Amino acid sequence: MGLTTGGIIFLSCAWGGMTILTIYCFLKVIKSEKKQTQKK
Amino acid sequence: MPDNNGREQWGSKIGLILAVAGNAVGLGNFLRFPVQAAQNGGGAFMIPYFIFFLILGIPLMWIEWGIGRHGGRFNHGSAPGMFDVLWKHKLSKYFGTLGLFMSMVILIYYTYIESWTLGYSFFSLTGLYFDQTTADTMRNFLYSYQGKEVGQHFTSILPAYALMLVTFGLNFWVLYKGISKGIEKLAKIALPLLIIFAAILAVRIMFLGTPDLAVPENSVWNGFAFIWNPNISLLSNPSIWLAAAGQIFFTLSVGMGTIHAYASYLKPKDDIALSGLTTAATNGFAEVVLGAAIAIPVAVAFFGLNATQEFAKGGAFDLGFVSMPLIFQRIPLGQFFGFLWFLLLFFAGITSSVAMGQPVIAFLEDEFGLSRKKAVGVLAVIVLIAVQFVVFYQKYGFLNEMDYWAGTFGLVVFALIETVLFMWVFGADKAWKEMNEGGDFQIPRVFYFLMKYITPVVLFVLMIWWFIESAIPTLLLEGVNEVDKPYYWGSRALMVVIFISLILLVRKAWQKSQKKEN
Repeated sequence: MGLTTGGIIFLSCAWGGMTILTIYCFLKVIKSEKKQTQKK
Repeated sequence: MPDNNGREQWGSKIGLILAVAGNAVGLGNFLRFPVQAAQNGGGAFMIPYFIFFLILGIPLMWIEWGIGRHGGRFNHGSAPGMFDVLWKHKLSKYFGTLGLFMSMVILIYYTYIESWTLGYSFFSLTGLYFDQTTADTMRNFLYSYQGKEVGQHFTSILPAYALMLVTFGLNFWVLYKGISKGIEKLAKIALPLLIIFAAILAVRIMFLGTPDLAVPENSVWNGFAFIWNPNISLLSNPSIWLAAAGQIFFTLSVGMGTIHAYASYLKPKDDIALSGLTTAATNGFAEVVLGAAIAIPVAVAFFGLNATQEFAKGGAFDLGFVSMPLIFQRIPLGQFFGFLWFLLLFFAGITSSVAMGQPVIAFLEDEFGLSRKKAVGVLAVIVLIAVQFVVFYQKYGFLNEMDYWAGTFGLVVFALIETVLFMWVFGADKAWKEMNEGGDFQIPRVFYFLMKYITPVVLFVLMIWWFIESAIPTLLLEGVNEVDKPYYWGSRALMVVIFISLILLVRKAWQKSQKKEN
């Protein structure tokens, strides 16, 4: 069987997309938390 | 630290996000997800899975965060009070009772399942099951541990009972410590650790390649191929779409009142847009990247695709407690990796189960003015009594019945009710404003349309489908042994008693608050 080209593309998009979204969100959360701490 | 109208508060935003993500990341990410993927055509399942993540998962997250924070503003940390605020009708609070019922019933049996993972992490370290080399003997090991059969290692249920008590104690100790010092602290430790453990296992599995060179088709990469090669030909099958919608629904732990309870401890201007998205993304990462890289690929590598699908047919417990322990015996440092696997399941479990305790505790604190200590004590006594039936009658299907009505069908009913209440009764415009208030970003407008029209329609279809497909046969006890039937009825009776008691408590709480107002 093996991973087809479609499979590799699907896997890369899913893993890449989910990882990037998670990291992006956490970076934004950390940034926002820092901002709030500075305000205080 | 009580500061939020005298209510407790989260210590930090990241702590809250980790707690809600910890609530979402549970046994479902590592056990239910691979089983669903394997049962529903692998690559064919993943396409609707991502579609429903966007149109069902993320919107429901925001809806629950929105309802929760809004309710918290009025000092309500549980669904009855929150629904009463959304819809000024004498019935609304009773609909909210479902948000107490579901979380409480699931907590009762989930704590027991969670204790098996703790037990198996010890058994892995000590290599106790390493002499069980076939699926049948490994199943006997599991069943004898659960007290269903007599086995070589366990002749009574006592070890399982003792570990259930340990797990129960840990859960209630965390709940007793409170929101910031208990739940948040646990999430800050357990969630990163479980992600690290899962990543270590996933990397180890990837390097297994083809364990038996004489059988080249049994390889990790064929396991990945099964999950990720898009299979468009199966997409015309509606059951695959419904299975994917169901998985998205379960994996995010929506429809049980837990997210509402956590979000109620936010301040009115705290962000929920970014927090909700971060929670959904973290859960998605744990499931799609880590959950998909462990149980199925490694099972295909050692047993082949057909046998893996057979394990999946046996359900999540077969895959997690039978197939995985067999695999750990065959890889170097298997005891260590087995320990990691079951400990990560335990962490995933405990961060979810403490969340299930919070709605009832918040209800007792907010509506009856009980101290946290007393509220935790009341819940602990009720759960400890109820869990006895689960432990001793599990072999007769007591747990399965609870899981179906509270942990499966009930969730979609509750989610449909809350979505209609928030988006239609409270009003979509007001709900939209609520969700965006204090937001670190503006939720894209397309989600307004999704939440108002698509999410309730998908939930309605899902509910009707499940009602016809499984609720009616389950209700009629189709396929249940005659010997087990009294226990199924016993399970139902227990749930009815819990539900009626909660309804009466809600009634009493509102009578009390009316008296106070007068």
